[in-house]
Amino acid sequence: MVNGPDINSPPKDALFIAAKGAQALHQSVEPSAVTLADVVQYIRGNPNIDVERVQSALSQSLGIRKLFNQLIRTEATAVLPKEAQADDGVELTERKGENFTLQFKTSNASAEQVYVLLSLDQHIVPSTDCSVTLIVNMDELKEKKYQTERLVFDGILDCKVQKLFMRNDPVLALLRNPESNVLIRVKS
Amino acid sequence: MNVFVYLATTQGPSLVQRIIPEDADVQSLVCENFGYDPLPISNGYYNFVKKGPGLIHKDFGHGAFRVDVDKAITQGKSWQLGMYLAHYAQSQNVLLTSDGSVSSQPEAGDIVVWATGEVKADRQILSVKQVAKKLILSEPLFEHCLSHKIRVLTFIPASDAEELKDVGFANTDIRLEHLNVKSLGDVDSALNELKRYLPDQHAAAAATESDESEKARADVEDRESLQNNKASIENREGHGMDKKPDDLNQTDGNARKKKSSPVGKFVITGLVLVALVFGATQWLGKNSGLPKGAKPDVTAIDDFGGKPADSLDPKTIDQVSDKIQAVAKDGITMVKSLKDDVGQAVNDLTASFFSEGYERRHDLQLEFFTLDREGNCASKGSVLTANNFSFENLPLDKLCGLEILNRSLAEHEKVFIMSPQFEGIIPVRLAGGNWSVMSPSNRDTDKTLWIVISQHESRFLVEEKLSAFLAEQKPTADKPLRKSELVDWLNKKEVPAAIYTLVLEK
Repeated sequence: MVNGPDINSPPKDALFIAAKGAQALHQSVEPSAVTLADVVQYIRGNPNIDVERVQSALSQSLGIRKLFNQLIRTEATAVLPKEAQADDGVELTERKGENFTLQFKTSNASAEQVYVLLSLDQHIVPSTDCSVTLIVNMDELKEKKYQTERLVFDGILDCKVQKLFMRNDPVLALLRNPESNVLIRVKS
Repeated sequence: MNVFVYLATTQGPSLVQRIIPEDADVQSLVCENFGYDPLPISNGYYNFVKKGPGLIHKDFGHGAFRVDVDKAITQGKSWQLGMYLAHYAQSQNVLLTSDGSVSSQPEAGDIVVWATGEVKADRQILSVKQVAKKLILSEPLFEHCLSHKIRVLTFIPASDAEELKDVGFANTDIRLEHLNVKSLGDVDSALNELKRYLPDQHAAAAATESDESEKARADVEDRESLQNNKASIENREGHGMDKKPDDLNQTDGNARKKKSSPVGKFVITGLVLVALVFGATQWLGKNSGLPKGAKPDVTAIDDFGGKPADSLDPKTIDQVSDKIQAVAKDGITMVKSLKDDVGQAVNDLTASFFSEGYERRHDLQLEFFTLDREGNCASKGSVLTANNFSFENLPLDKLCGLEILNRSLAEHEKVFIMSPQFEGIIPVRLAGGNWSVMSPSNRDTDKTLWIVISQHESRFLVEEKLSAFLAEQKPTADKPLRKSELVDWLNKKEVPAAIYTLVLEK
């Protein structure tokens, strides 16, 4: 068998080969390939998993999303549920959850770069060498679209961690969106 | 003219492209080439900079910066010396500030600083590895500088000077003499060297600062610290380097500092001293240990507990300021003459309690205060005289204050109190001409106090050095310091002092 359709084959055969190829491509990102263990590791901030595959599964499979939501309720250290906010067109500079605060600060070095500063209440930080996983997700019912992103911070300095984003980064937009949920998991 | 600072690494020199002050709550970070991924040394840089222990905040008055370098630095601490010098250059508005839009190559008239060395909190420069290799890897940079007649200043730790003996550059005829190699033991020496090469307006100021750098550093305080009333030992670390008038042009508001007028400087210094007393209630407790309703004799033992610094009596502040101003003048001369007078009379036993170069001819005396039946804190004229650098033990019960009697001190001598069991300087203040200390509120265990007497010209400098020592040793009740350790350390730091012991028994 040669790669690609045989130019001598009748058109019907070529269509069949193309269809099978497309199916194989689709199967490689089939949400069902994500296991419970993957979801757990995603929540726990394991860097050695295929993050995009899990996020893709979460956005496509209602079942996996339900599982994720159940797990995260037990794993999260602190949460910030979506907030009702009048849209006045002004970018948020702060979001305050139970036991943590997110601040958004434009860098003095570049207006195109924005710091996300995560300040944790001291009592949820067991030690300086623990890691923090932040998960932000949003269910856009109208558009039937589900987005989730994960940030992992290693080492907490003075109960704070930070990340620098480009202003147009979609993760930053999601974090700033008051309709997104933010969940924090602190692991010692 | 720009100062180009290169941080020497084992992968070649890394240029500091810019240092930008960030808002105080941002954690300082180092990025590569204007990107947004922090380099692995960022956490170390954060600690090097931050308010409290960070040398940068202490000397330059701001504790959050973003630095861009042109090549990644992944580990080690040898970047610290270069980074410190870069911060100085930034504070003087002479550091290269690139935005990446054009190539950053030094040109004729610029100054290139090449540095490697770890910097400790006590300002010493520590030895680092592979200095020779770092130099050799910088050969193309040096070649560029020398061919364009750009001055190069090379800073290395004093302890690594030996390593350069056999350094040779393979591809050019560059010799070490071309590189103005400065092997230095502390950052102040490095700073003074750098200042010598800055343009006239900086050099003029540098000459003055060079003579007075230590005194200046001791005299200038951080207003922000004072305003926050966090007047503990930690805040003392907020005193900045004396700044030049052109610091007012700095772009960052938080980093701005005005040079104090001579009078204002001492008033501010006094305020800091008073604030230190207030803040050290960590050790003493906000409650001075008096029973409810007791009225201490506030003229003798002034309990500052709970008083905001700005509500203190201006007369008290002036008194403290005047004293500091007076003793700052000729303390060292006095020490030298005392040493000559006493000469051989100091026996081995007493010498063991002195740091080198300091002897006393007076027996130290202290007066202690106890609570009477009415709950008043008063003295019954109870004076203790030290014998062999120790005082008779005092019971903690009913003790409400101590005073080191001025009559037992030589002119210009200053008193510092610390404990071998506690990481912090215990505050003392002048009250009625004597040095007064509150009694500890926690009376559950015995307390050992060391009363350190020194004629060093700068009170703040001695306090700073003692604090650095305590921070390094981290003594606790379970792991107390030995007096010999303090003596050795003071000798090493060239702080002449005598140390007396007082035990307060529970």
